[in-house]
Amino acid sequence: MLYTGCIMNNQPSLPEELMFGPEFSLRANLRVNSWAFVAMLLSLAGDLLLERYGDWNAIQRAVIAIVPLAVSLLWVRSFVRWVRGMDEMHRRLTFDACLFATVVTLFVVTAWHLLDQTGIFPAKVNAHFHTASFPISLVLAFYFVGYARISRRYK
Amino acid sequence: MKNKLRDLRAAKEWSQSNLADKLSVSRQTVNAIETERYDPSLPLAFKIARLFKLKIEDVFELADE
Repeated sequence: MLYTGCIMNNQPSLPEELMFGPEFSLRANLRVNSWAFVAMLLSLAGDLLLERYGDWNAIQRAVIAIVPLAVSLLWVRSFVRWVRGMDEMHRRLTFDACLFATVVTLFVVTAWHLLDQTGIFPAKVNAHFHTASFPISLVLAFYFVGYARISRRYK
Repeated sequence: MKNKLRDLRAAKEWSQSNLADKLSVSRQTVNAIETERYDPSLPLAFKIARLFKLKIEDVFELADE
């Protein structure tokens, strides 16, 4: 729904449209990432609701927890459509960067968890580790690092 | 893989952007193919050959041939 405008035009989408730089496009960003923004707002609203009405029953609390996740599936759909709109080289670059980000995040999270178990990180340092935003932030950061590294091969 | 894309494009007096539009790819992809940093897929290689009305082997050749 939010993405159709970009499919309509004949120009292939570019990964750089979502990164700060000369190719950055606010329009493309809104089309691809609007649902992520909605999911984030719903998650924040859910946190506030749970804080204020913590005595709600299990089903109500489960709905509050799951709704942002369900909305984030719409973001995945927008992202997939955006990737499908790329030409073959940029699609390959994006897949390689996603693979890099996933593998490195898995490695970092596993290593961090093992170090956490051994008691190396004090609670204050690793408190963020137990939140859902931690692996998401890592995947995003490693995606940009991976993309910058891999795209150099083709320039 | 080696290719003659830059020469073929120059002969037609097309810019990289013109060629990219005709092939429905980005200008960066045309540049990467011309500089032999990216090998196109078989469908794209056929599309390029057909655009210049040539056989695929007239545009692309393996580096060790």
